[in-house]
Amino acid sequence: MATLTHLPGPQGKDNQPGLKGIVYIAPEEWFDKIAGFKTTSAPGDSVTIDGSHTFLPNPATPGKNYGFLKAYATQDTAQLKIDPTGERDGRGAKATLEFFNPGAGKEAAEFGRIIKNTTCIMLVKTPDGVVQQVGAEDLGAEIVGSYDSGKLSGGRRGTTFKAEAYQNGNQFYEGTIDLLPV
Amino acid sequence: MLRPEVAELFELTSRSTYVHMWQLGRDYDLTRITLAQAEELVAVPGFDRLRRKPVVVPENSAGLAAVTTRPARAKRKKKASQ
Repeated sequence: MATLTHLPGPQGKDNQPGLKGIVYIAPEEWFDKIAGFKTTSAPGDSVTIDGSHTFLPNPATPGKNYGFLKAYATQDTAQLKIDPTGERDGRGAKATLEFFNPGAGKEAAEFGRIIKNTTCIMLVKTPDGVVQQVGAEDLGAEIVGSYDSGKLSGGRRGTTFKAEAYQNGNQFYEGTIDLLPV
Repeated sequence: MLRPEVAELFELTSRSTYVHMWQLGRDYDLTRITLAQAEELVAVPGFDRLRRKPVVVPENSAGLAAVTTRPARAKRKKKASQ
């Protein structure tokens, strides 16, 4: 069991909000092993993934494995929120990750059509390079997309993807991020 | 799979050869990396998609080949029996 420690302030360090513009996404069924939390007891270990996730062979690319997809997120649209769920003596949390992917291409349409029918592990990076995970084994993130064509007079054409996952707070990933072969 | 000059010293440990290294802030196709990039990658703590090949020591005068990944340990001196 992890122990509680002091909660320091910024102490002169940057604390820039927001997320970087790439979201890493992989359906749960692509994984060979979804790593769980560390079981050691150093500060932070109980919220840090132990090692790297590994992937199954990809039949579409013989000799290579599946990996995370890279999804472009328009700058200043990606946001991760974690809110409490449950009630006294039975509390949990739910993560919500939202980002906007521009365009009206077939790739995004097909991605939206398929991804809503599966659960995923997602990774995002903070401006200072820390990798945070949304979803866990058997509690993968559900992703749905909302398309907006915009108007001739204004607006923005593209898809806002929203993911939700039940997890007990922020999860930190420090392993290798395998990518889907290009 | 690795470039020949890289394959002389390193080997892949997985069929996942396209990786994002958040510690270095970029993507790498392990089949196209240079020797310098391979050295940079294996120096990242926890990175295990590539490893250095064991050093093969040439046959010695006794005709035995030794494979080692670390320097040989010095033998302990035995105390003279009383």
